[in-house]
Amino acid sequence: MTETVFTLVAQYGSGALFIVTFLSCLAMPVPASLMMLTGGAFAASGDMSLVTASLSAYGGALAGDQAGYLVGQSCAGWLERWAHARRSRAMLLARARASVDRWGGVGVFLSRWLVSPLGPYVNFAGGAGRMPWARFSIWSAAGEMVWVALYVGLGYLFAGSLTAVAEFAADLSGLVAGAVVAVGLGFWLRMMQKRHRRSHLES
Amino acid sequence: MLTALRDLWHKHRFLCIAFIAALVVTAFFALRLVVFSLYWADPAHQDQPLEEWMTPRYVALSYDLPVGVVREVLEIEAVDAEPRTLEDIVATSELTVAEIQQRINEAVRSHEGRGQ
Repeated sequence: MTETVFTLVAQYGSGALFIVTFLSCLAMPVPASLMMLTGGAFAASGDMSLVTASLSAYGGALAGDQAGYLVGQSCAGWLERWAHARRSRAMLLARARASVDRWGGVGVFLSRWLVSPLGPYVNFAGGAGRMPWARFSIWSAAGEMVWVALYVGLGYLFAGSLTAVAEFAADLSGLVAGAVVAVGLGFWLRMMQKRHRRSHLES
Repeated sequence: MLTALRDLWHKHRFLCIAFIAALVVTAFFALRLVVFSLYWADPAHQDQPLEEWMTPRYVALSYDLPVGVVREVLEIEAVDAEPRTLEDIVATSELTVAEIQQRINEAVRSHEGRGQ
């Protein structure tokens, strides 16, 4: 599988990078990070230009984010009708909207590169939750820049040992994603515990 | 403390299991990261064997050889517009990857000898 990715980048270059980063923003299971590492390595060897590799990955990612946002937006009306059918649902939607207003920008930014497995779902949610387009786009552009620079840059710097870097990057992103989910669930448990203690004291 | 934990476990079993699972996943990747870093840090493991996806330029970079030497070894001309992989080269010539590996290793040895 890793070898297939390396071959695709060697044969099709920037076109492959654009398509794969685009698809990865729409929740397709494609190895975008590995592709960008490979693009960076081929830029270092002189098979590709560094600017072309970075721009095609960046272009694909931006286009993919916009497409995901549009898909979400097309579901927004349906979501609102569903929510307004019952009071409890309407309240849930209002709460979700409030947290998007508060954390949406940072959420979009961090889900581009730090917790990238969540990225596509944030795109859909941003569109469906009617997050302002300009706000979404600015944070998406900033976040994707970090994502592309990080992976293409790592591939470029450690081009000579691409297999090792690919392994390292996959483990590191798994570690970060796992840790973020663990911390989130930890906070949730803590909140539950506090709520129980309070209701215990009141009774 | 223990009673609090037991309480949580009883009331939010699913959440607790998800939390433990996330910790296990994190620990798994942390361990892999350490093991592979140690493995690759060993100089004996740093040479990447040749594979079919590699291009002549990539082989040159990975083995620290001039591109001209690699092209000589592969018996190919410089073609700038066409990125060729070893797979293509093996398909259009009589060489195999194992033979190329042997030639590259020799080239590295003679190149190092010349450098000293």
